[in-house]
Amino acid sequence: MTKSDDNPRELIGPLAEYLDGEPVDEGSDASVDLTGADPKIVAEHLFLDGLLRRLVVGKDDDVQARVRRAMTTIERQRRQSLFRIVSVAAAAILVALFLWTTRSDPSQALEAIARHARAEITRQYAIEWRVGDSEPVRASFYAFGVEKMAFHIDRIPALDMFGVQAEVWFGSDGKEGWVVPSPPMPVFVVENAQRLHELVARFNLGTSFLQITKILVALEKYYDVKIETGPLVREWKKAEVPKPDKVAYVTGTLRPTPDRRLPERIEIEADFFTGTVHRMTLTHGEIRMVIDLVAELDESELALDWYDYDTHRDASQAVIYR
Amino acid sequence: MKSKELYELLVEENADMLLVFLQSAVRDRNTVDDLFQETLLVAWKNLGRFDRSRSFGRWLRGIARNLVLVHRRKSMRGHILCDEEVLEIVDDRCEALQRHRFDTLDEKLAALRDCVGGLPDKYREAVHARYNEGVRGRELATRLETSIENAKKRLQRGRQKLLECLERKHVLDDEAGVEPLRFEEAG
Repeated sequence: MTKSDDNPRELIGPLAEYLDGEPVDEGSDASVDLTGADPKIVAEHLFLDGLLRRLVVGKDDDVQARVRRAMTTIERQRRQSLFRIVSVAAAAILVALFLWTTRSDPSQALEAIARHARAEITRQYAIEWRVGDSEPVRASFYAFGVEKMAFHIDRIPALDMFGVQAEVWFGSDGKEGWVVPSPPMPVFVVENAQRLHELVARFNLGTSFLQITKILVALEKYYDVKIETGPLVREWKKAEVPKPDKVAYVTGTLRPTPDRRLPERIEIEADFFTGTVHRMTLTHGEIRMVIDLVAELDESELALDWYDYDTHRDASQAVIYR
Repeated sequence: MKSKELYELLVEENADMLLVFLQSAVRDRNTVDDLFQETLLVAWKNLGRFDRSRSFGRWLRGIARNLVLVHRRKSMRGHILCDEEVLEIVDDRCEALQRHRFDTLDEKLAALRDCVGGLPDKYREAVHARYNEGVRGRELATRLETSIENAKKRLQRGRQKLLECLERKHVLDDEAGVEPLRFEEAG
Protein backbone atom coordinates (compact mmCIF):
# COMPACT_ATOMS: atom_id res chain seq x y z
CA MET A 1 0.00 0.00 0.00
CA THR A 2 1.35 3.42 -0.90
CA LYS A 3 0.22 6.98 -0.88
CA SER A 4 -1.49 8.12 -4.04
CA ASP A 5 0.26 10.90 -5.89
CA ASP A 6 -2.64 13.29 -6.08
CA ASN A 7 -3.72 12.90 -2.46
CA PRO A 8 -1.09 12.12 0.15
CA ARG A 9 -3.66 11.02 2.74
CA GLU A 10 -5.58 8.63 0.56
CA LEU A 11 -5.34 4.96 1.29
CA ILE A 12 -5.15 2.35 -1.38
CA GLY A 13 -4.76 -1.39 -1.13
CA PRO A 14 -5.76 -3.82 1.60
CA LEU A 15 -6.20 -1.33 4.41
CA ALA A 16 -8.54 0.79 2.29
CA GLU A 17 -10.51 -2.33 1.47
CA TYR A 18 -10.63 -3.22 5.12
CA LEU A 19 -11.83 0.18 6.27
CA ASP A 20 -14.52 0.06 3.63
CA GLY A 21 -15.83 -3.05 5.26
CA GLU A 22 -14.60 -5.45 2.64
CA PRO A 23 -12.87 -8.69 3.51
CA VAL A 24 -9.15 -8.27 2.95
CA ASP A 25 -8.95 -11.52 1.10
CA GLU A 26 -12.13 -13.08 -0.16
CA GLY A 27 -13.37 -15.41 2.53
CA SER A 28 -10.48 -14.70 4.84
CA ASP A 29 -10.03 -12.81 8.08
CA ALA A 30 -6.29 -12.59 7.65
CA SER A 31 -4.36 -9.61 9.01
CA VAL A 32 -3.80 -6.70 6.69
CA ASP A 33 -0.37 -6.55 5.13
CA LEU A 34 1.02 -3.11 5.91
CA THR A 35 4.25 -3.57 3.98
CA GLY A 36 5.18 -0.30 2.33
CA ALA A 37 2.42 1.67 4.03
CA ASP A 38 3.11 5.06 5.53
CA PRO A 39 2.59 4.40 9.27
CA LYS A 40 1.36 7.92 9.94
CA ILE A 41 -1.35 7.74 7.31
CA VAL A 42 -2.38 4.26 8.39
CA ALA A 43 -2.52 5.42 12.00
CA GLU A 44 -4.60 8.49 11.16
CA HIS A 45 -7.17 6.46 9.29
CA LEU A 46 -7.32 3.77 11.94
CA PHE A 47 -7.69 6.35 14.67
CA LEU A 48 -10.49 8.06 12.81
CA ASP A 49 -12.12 4.71 12.14
CA GLY A 50 -11.94 3.95 15.86
CA LEU A 51 -13.38 7.36 16.72
CA LEU A 52 -16.24 6.97 14.27
CA ARG A 53 -17.09 3.55 15.64
CA ARG A 54 -16.91 4.95 19.17
CA LEU A 55 -19.11 7.86 18.12
CA VAL A 56 -21.76 5.48 16.86
CA VAL A 57 -21.67 2.83 19.57
CA GLY A 58 -20.87 5.20 22.40
CA LYS A 59 -24.46 5.75 23.43
CA ASP A 60 -25.13 2.03 23.60
CA ASP A 61 -21.79 1.01 25.06
CA ASP A 62 -21.78 1.12 28.84
CA VAL A 63 -18.11 1.70 29.55
CA GLN A 64 -18.78 1.80 33.26
CA ALA A 65 -20.23 -1.69 33.02
CA ARG A 66 -17.06 -2.87 31.30
CA VAL A 67 -14.97 -1.36 34.06
CA ARG A 68 -17.18 -2.92 36.72
CA ARG A 69 -16.78 -6.33 35.08
CA ALA A 70 -13.01 -5.94 35.14
CA MET A 71 -13.04 -4.80 38.76
CA THR A 72 -15.20 -7.78 39.69
CA THR A 73 -12.69 -10.07 38.03
CA ILE A 74 -9.86 -8.33 39.86
CA GLU A 75 -11.65 -8.80 43.16
CA ARG A 76 -12.28 -12.46 42.39
CA GLN A 77 -8.62 -12.98 41.53
CA ARG A 78 -7.58 -11.24 44.73
CA ARG A 79 -9.75 -13.64 46.68
CA GLN A 80 -8.30 -16.58 44.78
CA SER A 81 -4.81 -15.33 45.52
CA LEU A 82 -5.71 -15.06 49.17
CA PHE A 83 -7.16 -18.54 49.05
CA ARG A 84 -3.91 -19.91 47.63
CA ILE A 85 -1.80 -18.00 50.09
CA VAL A 86 -3.87 -19.29 52.96
CA SER A 87 -3.81 -22.79 51.50
CA VAL A 88 -0.06 -22.84 51.41
CA ALA A 89 0.11 -21.19 54.80
CA ALA A 90 -2.18 -23.86 56.16
CA ALA A 91 0.03 -26.58 54.75
CA ALA A 92 3.11 -25.04 56.25
CA ILE A 93 1.47 -24.50 59.61
CA LEU A 94 0.48 -28.11 59.74
CA VAL A 95 3.94 -29.26 58.84
CA ALA A 96 5.34 -26.96 61.48
CA LEU A 97 2.91 -28.21 64.05
CA PHE A 98 3.82 -31.74 63.21
CA LEU A 99 7.50 -31.07 63.70
CA TRP A 100 6.68 -29.06 66.75
CA THR A 101 4.23 -31.17 68.64
CA THR A 102 5.14 -34.77 67.87
CA ARG A 103 6.51 -35.66 71.23
CA SER A 104 4.29 -38.26 72.82
CA ASP A 105 4.87 -41.30 70.63
CA PRO A 106 6.00 -44.40 72.43
CA SER A 107 8.86 -45.39 70.24
CA GLN A 108 12.46 -44.56 70.87
CA ALA A 109 12.75 -42.80 67.56
CA LEU A 110 9.80 -40.59 68.17
CA GLU A 111 11.03 -39.88 71.66
CA ALA A 112 14.20 -38.67 70.04
CA ILE A 113 12.15 -36.39 67.85
CA ALA A 114 10.44 -35.08 70.94
CA ARG A 115 13.71 -34.50 72.77
CA HIS A 116 15.00 -32.61 69.82
CA ALA A 117 11.89 -30.49 69.71
CA ARG A 118 11.97 -29.68 73.41
CA ALA A 119 15.53 -28.43 73.45
CA GLU A 120 15.42 -24.70 74.08
CA ILE A 121 17.75 -23.69 71.32
CA THR A 122 17.09 -21.84 68.11
CA ARG A 123 16.66 -24.22 65.22
CA GLN A 124 16.36 -23.07 61.65
CA TYR A 125 15.48 -25.29 58.73
CA ALA A 126 14.81 -24.90 55.05
CA ILE A 127 11.79 -27.02 54.22
CA GLU A 128 10.33 -27.91 50.86
CA TRP A 129 7.08 -29.62 49.98
CA ARG A 130 5.43 -30.62 46.78
CA VAL A 131 2.23 -32.35 45.77
CA GLY A 132 2.53 -34.77 42.88
CA ASP A 133 4.51 -33.20 40.05
CA SER A 134 3.78 -29.62 41.10
CA GLU A 135 6.59 -27.16 41.61
CA PRO A 136 7.94 -27.40 45.16
CA VAL A 137 7.24 -24.68 47.70
CA ARG A 138 10.15 -23.69 49.91
CA ALA A 139 9.90 -22.25 53.37
CA SER A 140 12.09 -21.38 56.32
CA PHE A 141 11.13 -22.86 59.67
CA TYR A 142 12.37 -21.37 62.95
CA ALA A 143 11.76 -22.98 66.31
CA PHE A 144 12.75 -22.36 69.91
CA GLY A 145 11.83 -25.14 72.27
CA VAL A 146 8.35 -26.48 71.80
CA GLU A 147 6.47 -23.26 72.29
CA LYS A 148 7.91 -20.72 69.91
CA MET A 149 8.04 -21.17 66.20
CA ALA A 150 7.85 -19.15 62.99
CA PHE A 151 7.46 -20.15 59.39
CA HIS A 152 8.28 -18.04 56.34
CA ILE A 153 7.38 -18.61 52.70
CA ASP A 154 8.89 -15.95 50.47
CA ARG A 155 7.62 -17.19 47.14
CA ILE A 156 4.52 -19.12 46.21
CA PRO A 157 4.96 -20.69 42.75
CA ALA A 158 1.21 -21.05 42.24
CA LEU A 159 0.90 -17.25 42.26
CA ASP A 160 3.69 -16.56 39.76
CA MET A 161 1.39 -16.97 36.79
CA PHE A 162 -0.80 -14.21 38.19
CA GLY A 163 2.17 -11.90 38.61
CA VAL A 164 1.59 -11.91 42.36
CA GLN A 165 4.63 -11.92 44.58
CA ALA A 166 3.35 -13.02 47.95
CA GLU A 167 5.00 -14.00 51.18
CA VAL A 168 3.54 -15.38 54.38
CA TRP A 169 4.78 -15.55 57.96
CA PHE A 170 3.04 -17.61 60.58
CA GLY A 171 3.80 -19.14 63.89
CA SER A 172 3.39 -18.86 67.61
CA ASP A 173 5.05 -17.00 70.48
CA GLY A 174 3.93 -19.76 72.84
CA LYS A 175 0.76 -17.92 73.79
CA GLU A 176 -0.78 -16.65 70.57
CA GLY A 177 -0.89 -18.27 67.16
CA TRP A 178 -0.74 -15.96 64.16
CA VAL A 179 -0.66 -15.66 60.37
CA VAL A 180 0.91 -12.62 58.70
CA PRO A 181 0.30 -12.54 54.95
CA SER A 182 1.62 -9.85 52.59
CA PRO A 183 0.01 -6.41 52.93
CA PRO A 184 -2.69 -5.29 52.50
CA MET A 185 -4.03 -8.55 53.92
CA PRO A 186 -4.75 -8.37 57.65
CA VAL A 187 -2.94 -10.32 60.32
CA PHE A 188 -4.91 -13.13 61.97
CA VAL A 189 -4.26 -14.01 65.59
CA VAL A 190 -5.68 -16.65 67.93
CA GLU A 191 -5.23 -15.99 71.61
CA ASN A 192 -4.32 -19.54 72.52
CA ALA A 193 -1.40 -21.03 70.63
CA GLN A 194 -3.00 -24.44 70.86
CA ARG A 195 -5.85 -23.06 68.74
CA LEU A 196 -3.60 -22.47 65.78
CA HIS A 197 -5.18 -25.58 64.29
CA GLU A 198 -8.54 -23.86 64.71
CA LEU A 199 -7.28 -20.72 63.05
CA VAL A 200 -6.35 -22.78 60.04
CA ALA A 201 -9.65 -24.61 60.13
CA ARG A 202 -11.60 -21.33 60.34
CA PHE A 203 -10.45 -20.49 56.86
CA ASN A 204 -12.69 -23.35 55.82
CA LEU A 205 -10.37 -24.23 52.99
CA GLY A 206 -11.57 -27.75 52.40
CA THR A 207 -8.36 -28.47 50.56
CA SER A 208 -6.29 -31.57 50.72
CA PHE A 209 -3.90 -29.69 52.98
CA LEU A 210 -6.42 -29.64 55.77
CA GLN A 211 -6.59 -33.39 55.73
CA ILE A 212 -3.14 -33.38 57.26
CA THR A 213 -4.59 -32.05 60.48
CA LYS A 214 -6.68 -35.12 60.87
CA ILE A 215 -3.81 -37.30 59.81
CA LEU A 216 -1.53 -36.04 62.50
CA VAL A 217 -4.13 -35.85 65.22
CA ALA A 218 -5.39 -39.32 64.44
CA LEU A 219 -2.09 -41.01 63.69
CA GLU A 220 -2.31 -43.35 66.63
CA LYS A 221 -6.05 -43.64 66.54
CA TYR A 222 -6.54 -44.68 62.95
CA TYR A 223 -3.18 -45.99 61.79
CA ASP A 224 -1.14 -49.06 62.33
CA VAL A 225 2.26 -47.57 63.07
CA LYS A 226 5.46 -49.44 62.36
CA ILE A 227 8.87 -48.13 63.31
CA GLU A 228 12.05 -49.53 61.87
CA THR A 229 15.62 -48.50 61.79
CA GLY A 230 17.93 -48.96 58.90
CA PRO A 231 20.55 -47.32 56.75
CA LEU A 232 19.90 -44.08 54.96
CA VAL A 233 18.67 -45.18 51.57
CA ARG A 234 18.52 -42.00 49.55
CA GLU A 235 21.24 -39.49 48.89
CA TRP A 236 20.50 -36.84 51.48
CA LYS A 237 23.13 -35.09 53.53
CA LYS A 238 24.84 -38.39 54.09
CA ALA A 239 27.99 -36.59 55.10
CA GLU A 240 26.14 -34.70 57.85
CA VAL A 241 24.20 -37.61 59.28
CA PRO A 242 26.29 -38.88 62.20
CA LYS A 243 25.39 -42.53 61.68
CA PRO A 244 23.72 -42.94 58.30
CA ASP A 245 23.33 -46.64 59.01
CA LYS A 246 20.68 -45.92 61.63
CA VAL A 247 17.78 -43.87 60.39
CA ALA A 248 14.28 -44.13 61.82
CA TYR A 249 11.52 -45.03 59.36
CA VAL A 250 8.01 -44.57 60.67
CA THR A 251 5.23 -45.98 58.54
CA GLY A 252 1.55 -45.46 59.26
CA THR A 253 -0.99 -47.58 57.40
CA LEU A 254 -4.60 -46.54 57.59
CA ARG A 255 -6.90 -48.97 59.33
CA PRO A 256 -10.39 -49.45 57.88
CA THR A 257 -12.25 -46.20 58.50
CA PRO A 258 -15.29 -44.49 57.03
CA ASP A 259 -13.29 -41.28 56.63
CA ARG A 260 -12.01 -41.53 53.09
CA ARG A 261 -10.19 -38.22 53.31
CA LEU A 262 -7.38 -39.66 55.39
CA PRO A 263 -4.28 -40.63 53.45
CA GLU A 264 -3.75 -44.33 53.10
CA ARG A 265 -0.11 -44.19 54.04
CA ILE A 266 2.21 -41.92 56.03
CA GLU A 267 5.97 -42.33 55.86
CA ILE A 268 8.39 -40.44 58.07
CA GLU A 269 12.13 -40.55 57.79
CA ALA A 270 14.02 -39.15 60.79
CA ASP A 271 17.48 -39.03 62.22
CA PHE A 272 17.47 -41.74 64.90
CA PHE A 273 19.81 -39.87 67.22
CA THR A 274 18.77 -36.25 66.87
CA GLY A 275 15.10 -36.81 66.11
CA THR A 276 15.20 -34.42 63.17
CA VAL A 277 12.54 -35.31 60.60
CA HIS A 278 14.13 -35.41 57.14
CA ARG A 279 11.14 -36.31 55.07
CA MET A 280 7.44 -36.95 55.44
CA THR A 281 5.44 -38.52 52.64
CA LEU A 282 1.66 -38.74 52.51
CA THR A 283 -0.02 -40.97 49.96
CA HIS A 284 -3.71 -40.86 49.22
CA GLY A 285 -4.79 -42.73 46.12
CA GLU A 286 -2.72 -41.28 43.32
CA ILE A 287 -1.90 -38.11 45.26
CA ARG A 288 1.48 -38.02 46.91
CA MET A 289 2.69 -35.13 49.08
CA VAL A 290 6.35 -35.01 50.04
CA ILE A 291 7.68 -32.67 52.71
CA ASP A 292 11.45 -32.47 52.89
CA LEU A 293 13.87 -30.92 55.28
CA VAL A 294 16.24 -29.42 52.75
CA ALA A 295 18.86 -28.09 55.09
CA GLU A 296 19.53 -27.06 58.62
CA LEU A 297 20.19 -23.34 58.48
CA ASP A 298 22.62 -21.28 60.45
CA GLU A 299 21.68 -21.84 64.07
CA SER A 300 22.61 -18.41 65.29
CA GLU A 301 20.39 -17.30 68.13
CA LEU A 302 17.41 -15.16 67.25
CA ALA A 303 15.76 -12.63 69.51
CA LEU A 304 12.69 -14.12 71.12
CA ASP A 305 10.47 -11.45 69.57
CA TRP A 306 11.17 -13.25 66.30
CA TYR A 307 8.20 -15.39 67.26
CA ASP A 308 5.85 -12.41 67.72
CA TYR A 309 3.56 -11.48 64.86
CA ASP A 310 4.38 -7.80 65.34
CA THR A 311 7.95 -8.45 64.22
CA HIS A 312 6.78 -9.59 60.82
CA ARG A 313 3.80 -7.37 60.09
CA ASP A 314 3.73 -4.10 58.20
CA ALA A 315 2.63 -1.10 60.23
CA SER A 316 -0.32 -0.64 57.86
CA GLN A 317 -1.71 -4.13 58.42
CA ALA A 318 -4.77 -4.53 60.58
CA VAL A 319 -4.79 -7.27 63.22
CA ILE A 320 -7.83 -9.48 63.54
CA TYR A 321 -8.23 -11.53 66.70
CA ARG A 322 -10.14 -14.76 66.46
CA MET B 1 -8.77 6.12 49.65
CA LYS B 2 -7.86 2.48 49.08
CA SER B 3 -5.61 1.73 46.12
CA LYS B 4 -8.30 -0.43 44.48
CA GLU B 5 -10.86 2.38 44.64
CA LEU B 6 -8.39 4.90 43.30
CA TYR B 7 -7.43 2.49 40.56
CA GLU B 8 -11.09 2.14 39.59
CA LEU B 9 -11.46 5.92 39.43
CA LEU B 10 -8.40 6.28 37.23
CA VAL B 11 -9.59 3.48 34.99
CA GLU B 12 -13.00 5.13 34.63
CA GLU B 13 -11.28 8.37 33.63
CA ASN B 14 -9.33 6.62 30.91
CA ALA B 15 -11.58 3.77 29.82
CA ASP B 16 -13.15 5.62 26.91
CA MET B 17 -9.83 6.44 25.30
CA LEU B 18 -8.60 2.92 25.94
CA LEU B 19 -11.59 1.66 23.98
CA VAL B 20 -10.91 4.11 21.15
CA PHE B 21 -7.36 2.83 21.03
CA LEU B 22 -8.42 -0.82 20.97
CA GLN B 23 -11.16 -0.19 18.43
CA SER B 24 -8.60 1.54 16.25
CA ALA B 25 -6.28 -1.42 16.43
CA VAL B 26 -8.70 -4.33 16.40
CA ARG B 27 -11.83 -4.85 14.35
CA ASP B 28 -13.44 -7.82 16.06
CA ARG B 29 -15.71 -6.66 18.90
CA ASN B 30 -15.17 -9.76 21.02
CA THR B 31 -11.41 -9.33 20.75
CA VAL B 32 -11.78 -5.68 21.76
CA ASP B 33 -13.78 -6.78 24.81
CA ASP B 34 -11.22 -9.40 25.78
CA LEU B 35 -8.27 -7.07 25.35
CA PHE B 36 -10.01 -4.33 27.33
CA GLN B 37 -10.56 -6.67 30.26
CA GLU B 38 -7.08 -8.13 30.03
CA THR B 39 -5.51 -4.67 29.94
CA LEU B 40 -7.19 -3.71 33.19
CA LEU B 41 -6.19 -6.96 34.88
CA VAL B 42 -2.56 -6.70 33.79
CA ALA B 43 -2.47 -3.03 34.84
CA TRP B 44 -3.80 -3.89 38.29
CA LYS B 45 -1.23 -6.60 38.80
CA ASN B 46 1.57 -4.30 37.72
CA LEU B 47 0.37 -1.17 39.47
CA GLY B 48 3.51 -1.14 41.57
CA ARG B 49 5.58 -0.63 38.43
CA PHE B 50 3.64 2.40 37.25
CA ASP B 51 5.76 5.52 36.96
CA ARG B 52 3.66 8.14 38.75
CA SER B 53 5.19 10.94 36.72
CA ARG B 54 3.59 9.53 33.56
CA SER B 55 0.09 9.75 32.19
CA PHE B 56 -2.01 6.90 33.54
CA GLY B 57 -3.98 6.69 30.29
CA ARG B 58 -0.85 6.35 28.22
CA TRP B 59 0.41 3.66 30.56
CA LEU B 60 -2.86 1.73 30.16
CA ARG B 61 -2.68 2.02 26.39
CA GLY B 62 0.95 0.91 26.48
CA ILE B 63 -0.19 -2.31 28.15
CA ALA B 64 -3.02 -2.61 25.62
CA ARG B 65 -0.56 -2.10 22.76
CA ASN B 66 1.62 -4.94 24.00
CA LEU B 67 -1.40 -7.19 24.37
CA VAL B 68 -2.54 -6.32 20.83
CA LEU B 69 0.89 -7.22 19.48
CA VAL B 70 0.97 -10.47 21.44
CA HIS B 71 -2.51 -11.28 20.19
CA ARG B 72 -1.42 -10.57 16.65
CA ARG B 73 1.55 -12.88 16.94
CA LYS B 74 -0.59 -15.65 18.38
CA SER B 75 -3.45 -15.31 15.96
CA MET B 76 -2.45 -14.79 12.37
CA ARG B 77 -6.10 -15.05 11.46
CA GLY B 78 -7.05 -12.22 13.77
CA HIS B 79 -8.48 -8.88 12.78
CA ILE B 80 -5.42 -6.98 13.89
CA LEU B 81 -4.43 -4.18 11.60
CA CYS B 82 -1.43 -2.51 13.09
CA ASP B 83 2.25 -2.90 13.57
CA GLU B 84 4.08 -1.41 16.54
CA GLU B 85 4.95 1.90 14.88
CA VAL B 86 1.36 2.46 13.80
CA LEU B 87 0.11 1.68 17.30
CA GLU B 88 2.50 4.22 18.79
CA ILE B 89 1.13 6.90 16.50
CA VAL B 90 -2.44 5.92 17.34
CA ASP B 91 -1.47 6.17 21.01
CA ASP B 92 -0.09 9.67 20.41
CA ARG B 93 -3.40 10.63 18.83
CA CYS B 94 -5.31 9.19 21.78
CA GLU B 95 -3.10 11.09 24.20
CA ALA B 96 -3.63 14.34 22.32
CA LEU B 97 -7.37 13.83 22.41
CA GLN B 98 -7.24 12.81 26.07
CA ARG B 99 -5.43 16.03 26.89
CA HIS B 100 -7.93 18.14 25.03
CA ARG B 101 -9.66 20.72 27.15
CA PHE B 102 -13.02 18.93 27.10
CA ASP B 103 -13.69 16.65 30.03
CA THR B 104 -15.54 13.69 28.62
CA LEU B 105 -15.03 11.71 25.47
CA ASP B 106 -18.56 12.60 24.48
CA GLU B 107 -17.64 16.28 24.60
CA LYS B 108 -14.49 15.57 22.69
CA LEU B 109 -16.44 13.61 20.11
CA ALA B 110 -18.83 16.52 19.71
CA ALA B 111 -16.25 18.08 17.42
CA LEU B 112 -16.25 14.95 15.29
CA ARG B 113 -20.04 14.94 15.30
CA ASP B 114 -19.97 18.53 14.03
CA CYS B 115 -17.50 17.55 11.34
CA VAL B 116 -19.70 14.65 10.22
CA GLY B 117 -22.67 17.01 10.13
CA GLY B 118 -20.69 19.42 8.01
CA LEU B 119 -19.72 16.87 5.36
CA PRO B 120 -21.15 17.30 1.87
CA ASP B 121 -24.25 15.12 1.52
CA LYS B 122 -22.74 12.34 -0.56
CA TYR B 123 -19.89 11.79 1.90
CA ARG B 124 -22.09 12.13 4.97
CA GLU B 125 -24.50 9.54 3.59
CA ALA B 126 -21.64 7.15 2.93
CA VAL B 127 -20.15 7.62 6.40
CA HIS B 128 -23.56 7.34 8.06
CA ALA B 129 -24.48 4.18 6.16
CA ARG B 130 -21.12 2.58 6.90
CA TYR B 131 -20.77 3.43 10.57
CA ASN B 132 -24.29 3.97 11.84
CA GLU B 133 -25.94 1.17 9.93
CA GLY B 134 -22.99 -1.13 9.27
CA VAL B 135 -23.71 -1.26 5.56
CA ARG B 136 -20.79 -2.39 3.45
CA GLY B 137 -19.63 -3.45 0.00
CA ARG B 138 -22.25 -4.05 -2.62
CA GLU B 139 -25.07 -3.17 -0.27
CA LEU B 140 -23.43 0.17 0.42
CA ALA B 141 -23.15 0.83 -3.30
CA THR B 142 -26.81 -0.01 -3.75
CA ARG B 143 -27.79 2.27 -0.90
CA LEU B 144 -25.77 5.12 -2.37
CA GLU B 145 -27.03 4.28 -5.87
CA THR B 146 -23.55 4.14 -7.28
CA SER B 147 -20.84 1.63 -8.14
CA ILE B 148 -18.85 -0.23 -5.49
CA GLU B 149 -15.70 1.61 -6.44
CA ASN B 150 -17.45 4.93 -6.18
CA ALA B 151 -18.97 4.04 -2.82
CA LYS B 152 -15.54 3.14 -1.43
CA LYS B 153 -14.14 6.34 -2.83
CA ARG B 154 -16.82 8.37 -1.07
CA LEU B 155 -16.03 6.71 2.23
CA GLN B 156 -12.35 7.38 1.86
CA ARG B 157 -12.85 10.97 0.88
CA GLY B 158 -15.36 11.38 3.69
CA ARG B 159 -12.86 10.17 6.28
CA GLN B 160 -10.17 12.31 4.77
CA LYS B 161 -12.37 15.38 5.08
CA LEU B 162 -13.16 14.48 8.68
CA LEU B 163 -9.47 14.33 9.51
CA GLU B 164 -8.94 17.73 7.93
CA CYS B 165 -11.95 19.11 9.80
CA LEU B 166 -10.64 17.83 13.15
CA GLU B 167 -7.28 19.38 12.44
CA ARG B 168 -8.91 22.70 11.64
CA LYS B 169 -10.63 22.51 15.02
CA HIS B 170 -7.28 21.71 16.67
CA VAL B 171 -8.81 18.68 18.34
CA LEU B 172 -5.81 16.53 17.58
CA ASP B 173 -3.12 19.12 18.28
CA ASP B 174 -0.57 18.03 20.85
CA GLU B 175 -0.69 21.41 22.55
CA ALA B 176 -4.46 21.69 22.52
CA GLY B 177 -5.23 20.41 25.94
CA VAL B 178 -4.35 20.45 29.56
CA GLU B 179 -1.96 18.27 31.51
CA PRO B 180 -2.85 14.59 31.58
CA LEU B 181 -4.29 13.03 34.69
CA ARG B 182 -1.47 11.99 36.96
CA PHE B 183 -1.38 9.11 39.40
CA GLU B 184 -0.77 10.73 42.75
CA GLU B 185 -2.05 8.63 45.61
CA ALA B 186 -2.22 4.93 44.97
CA GLY B 187 0.57 2.84 46.33
